[in-house]
Amino acid sequence: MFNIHSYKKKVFYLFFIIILLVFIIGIQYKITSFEKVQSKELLYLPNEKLLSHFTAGLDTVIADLLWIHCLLYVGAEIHGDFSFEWLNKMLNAVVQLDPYFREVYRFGSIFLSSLRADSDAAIQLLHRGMYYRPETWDLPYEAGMIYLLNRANEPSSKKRAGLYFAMSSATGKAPQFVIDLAEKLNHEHDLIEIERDMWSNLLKSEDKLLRDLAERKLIMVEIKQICRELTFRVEKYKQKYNKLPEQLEEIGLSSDSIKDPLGGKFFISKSGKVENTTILDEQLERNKHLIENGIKVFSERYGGYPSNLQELLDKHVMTFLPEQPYEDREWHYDPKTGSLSSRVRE
Amino acid sequence: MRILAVAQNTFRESVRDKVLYVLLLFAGVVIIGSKAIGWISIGQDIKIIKDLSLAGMSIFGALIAIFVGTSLVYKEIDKKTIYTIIAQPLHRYEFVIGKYLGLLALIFGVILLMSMMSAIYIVILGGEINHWYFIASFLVFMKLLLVTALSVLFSTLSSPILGAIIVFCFYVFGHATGVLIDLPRQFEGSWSKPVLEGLYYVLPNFANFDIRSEVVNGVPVSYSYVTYIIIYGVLYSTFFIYLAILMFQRKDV
Repeated sequence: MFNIHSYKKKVFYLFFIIILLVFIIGIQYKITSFEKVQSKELLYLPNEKLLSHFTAGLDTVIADLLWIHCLLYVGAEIHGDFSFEWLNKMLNAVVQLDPYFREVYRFGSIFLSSLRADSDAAIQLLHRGMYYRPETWDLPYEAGMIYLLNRANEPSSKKRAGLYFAMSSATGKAPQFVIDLAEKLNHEHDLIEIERDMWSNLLKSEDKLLRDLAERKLIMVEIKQICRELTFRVEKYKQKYNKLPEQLEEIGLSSDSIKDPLGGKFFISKSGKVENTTILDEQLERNKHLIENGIKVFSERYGGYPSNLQELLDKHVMTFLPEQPYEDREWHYDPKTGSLSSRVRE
Repeated sequence: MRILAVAQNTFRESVRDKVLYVLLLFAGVVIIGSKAIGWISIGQDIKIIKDLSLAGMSIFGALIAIFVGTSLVYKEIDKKTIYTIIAQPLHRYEFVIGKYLGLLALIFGVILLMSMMSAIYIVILGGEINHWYFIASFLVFMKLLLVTALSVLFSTLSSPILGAIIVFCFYVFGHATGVLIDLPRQFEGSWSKPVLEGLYYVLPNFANFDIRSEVVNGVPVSYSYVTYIIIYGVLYSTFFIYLAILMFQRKDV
């Protein structure tokens, strides 16, 4: 049976709910307008270090949300007053929570350098990224680009850019244009001094791992410097005696006087250059990675391994074949397995 | 065999708990809804879905372990069903271990379900899943092994609400123990430094089990690290369960 009283009651309840919802929406609208006014103050973030400890295991999720917040903030600032005041703090908080989040380093440095015009902060962010993700080619590449584009007026900008592009190439994953750029800039400039400066600065880092890395790199810089000076002596010897010395002792050095703290050995190559095995071994690994990467790209593109290394150049997978750093060795490539090794030249 | 019987019974009983389904539903909504968050992240949608899925397993799994675990023994005492159980030829330690294993089986099922569902969802959306995703999920389970043991311990000591609050506090601070070893410079030379550092090694460290950032960002993790974490989880859980057995044996029921 249809009951008019019960029907009226239902309509009244429905009406009451709708009124309540209208009020709620109205109040929310008012609250949102308050948020708009106060948004900058609300962007305050606690100390990043503490933030990472008190996330109850949700650090990466909070990093994702903060990254999205950061993107929205960048969008709002582009259409707003273009100050990007909180950008650096937000980015640092994101990478503190998720230190392996590569895109934050990459895009964050682009935002910092191109939008906030703070290339120092961008380089700092990229250094942090390079520490956590040393295998990525794009972070040193971005650092190089900052020196080329944002710091072009500085006297050493091209040298520094060259160094970063060399670091990018050393990952063995950089595209060919980065390798070409690194080669070009490194031929133009002497990088030893700039490299020494860079690692010396890193030596002041609070992080022990970074300091250890800088210490090792500084030793390698010194080894390169020793090799250069000794090669100069070898050239003088050659001019005087019209032949190359066979041992380092012949140019007035005892074997104890030049020791490599990293365990490598100095020797005179057939072309008369003084070389060091620590430096050459590192270069060997780097060049091997580059060719192996080319072989991988080839097999993905053509569904098989190249029949020889020359085919990588013929089919434009690589624009040049990285050299074998040891003069008496050559690359040995097996087309059946696609594997590459280094062997003594026959 | 008697332990297994208690475990089976606990599993059946826990499966009927409505809290479980509410939490599973929430976890499902979070995992599926994460796609929406990914839309505004410059191509990071798969990374965000993986992050949220693994975090969802951890937080919802912990909530299940806490809410179900802390009432596990207490409920039997409160409903007086404990008297019929201890009247059986059953040792008290068998009862506690059975309860623990029953709840663990449930949590294992929940984590397995969530990891499989999220992996399928990620693959459907065009993402890649490798074995490390499942190793990360397994380490979440290892973390919950510890949370469950702690919950069972408090289930023998206090009421479910108090127990849940305490275990939840342990869960939050167990992720923050890093702060004890990452002390500011003003602590250098003070007596509190070695004390706090000592606490870091003693307190359960739940952050150990999180390899989410590495796995989601494709950073390698060593198998030896995973092995040590598994051993750590098993040893610490054994310690808590041993305490739970001692407490339950002393309990006047």
